[in-house]
Amino acid sequence: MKRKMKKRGFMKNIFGVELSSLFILSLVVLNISLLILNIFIFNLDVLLFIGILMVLDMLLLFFKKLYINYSFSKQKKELEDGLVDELLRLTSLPKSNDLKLILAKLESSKNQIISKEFKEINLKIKKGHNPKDVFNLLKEKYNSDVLNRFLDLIILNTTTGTVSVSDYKNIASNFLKTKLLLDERNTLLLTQKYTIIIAGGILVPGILGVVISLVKKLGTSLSLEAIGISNSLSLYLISYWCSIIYIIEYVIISSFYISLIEQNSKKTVVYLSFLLPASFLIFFAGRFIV
Amino acid sequence: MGNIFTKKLLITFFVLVAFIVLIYFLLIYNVSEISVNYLLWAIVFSFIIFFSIHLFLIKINLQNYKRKINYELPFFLNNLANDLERNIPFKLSLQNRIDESLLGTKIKQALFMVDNLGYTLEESLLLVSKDNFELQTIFYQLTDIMQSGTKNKHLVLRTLSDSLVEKQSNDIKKYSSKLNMISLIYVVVSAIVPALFLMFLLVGSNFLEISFAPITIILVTVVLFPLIDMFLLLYMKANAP
Repeated sequence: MKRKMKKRGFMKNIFGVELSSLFILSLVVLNISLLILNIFIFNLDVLLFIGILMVLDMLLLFFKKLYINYSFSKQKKELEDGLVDELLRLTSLPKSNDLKLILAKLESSKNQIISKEFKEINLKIKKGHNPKDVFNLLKEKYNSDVLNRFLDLIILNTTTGTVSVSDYKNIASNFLKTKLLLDERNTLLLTQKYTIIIAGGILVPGILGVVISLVKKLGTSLSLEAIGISNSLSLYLISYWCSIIYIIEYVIISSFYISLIEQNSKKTVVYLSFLLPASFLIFFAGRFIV
Repeated sequence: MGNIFTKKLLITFFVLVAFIVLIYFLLIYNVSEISVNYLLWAIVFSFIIFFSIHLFLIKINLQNYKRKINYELPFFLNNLANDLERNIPFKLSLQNRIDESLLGTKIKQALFMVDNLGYTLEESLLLVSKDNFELQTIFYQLTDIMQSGTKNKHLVLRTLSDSLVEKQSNDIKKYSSKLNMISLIYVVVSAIVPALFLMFLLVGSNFLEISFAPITIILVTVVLFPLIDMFLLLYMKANAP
């Protein structure tokens, strides 16, 4: 198992540099060297290739940053969830203002992140650091409301001794109540999000694609001129291009709104990058249906 | 709600108008002969759209601000109840609640007004919560509880906190039922109405012999429909609890 872990670690890091960073770095180096080369041998194809590489660089950097943010927020959520259990565990302590006892209990947590963080804290305190400073560092790292309250309570507890075990219980029950509310709200927003994704990715392009295709088929299969109705090709072309522009606008609005729901405007690009191709695919697939 | 017609916003709007006029004279006027009336209509509509979007954004920001405070309120009341249970004086327990959160900043402001500007605690709490009706109600109840002769003040505060959570939960349920209807309207407006419009335009107009100018089709499909979609989404977001 250890060997496997080591191997995986090696795959992830080469000489302390992450593999993904190394890949992006090599792309940037390639880009710069091609740009320098292109100064001497001016070639439009090479310039186009440089442009594509630049876009790829930026996209990769963006997605890497997004992945880091995602994994950090996942870690934060795990820590917050585990903290509620730990708060309830602390209520069983006979003495609530013994910092050593509290830290030992937190170190032995089954939540990996809590256990790791408090092991580090304990080590630093044993080395002579001020507990308040060490806790502040942890607060800055996660910027989590529950963690801040929890650490404040421990500091207040060890400095004034006015905190009782029921306070830990109160924090835990408060957090659970608010979490329940947040979960309810998130479920609601999730329904909203999927309604918009389905409407943006399937319904709108699908219906428009089918309608456009149907009109085109009608124009070719029925000779409308024969029954005295003029079939305007220009009207059809305008409608066709307007539908495409409408789909693009619709997808942009939807992606922006979904990112607004998730309170992360950077995600607009992510939703755009999969909603736009999906909607175009469905729009153009309309001609195969009718 | 704040002032909508701020200097910065008016300047932004005039830049937008200048942009519309520029597009009109550089592109549209030369390509198709559209009368100046269209330009005037475009300016009037852009005025309405620009400021209504801004109004929605103000409402969304206000809602976000309220939501953040509402999230902090149960914690605040319970922590206050804990302090009062340990016989810590009210003002001191308020001081313990000062932190970097929105509510913590409000409390800090209120205590500053008491210590330096000569306000009473009740007055200062009501003054700092002037922009948030729910917070003002809570502060009003809080000062009322503190002035009453009841012994178990912490229990009253805990009940207040529980009722607040329950109220928030009810608001979410209410919004949920409202959202179903809005979502349905949204899907109809964004998908079915444009499709029907195109169908009517391409097939129906031939039968009914109604002629459509290309600019009308472009304006309806490319400008009007996305605008309706956007306003519906903004409405959904602005009313989210």
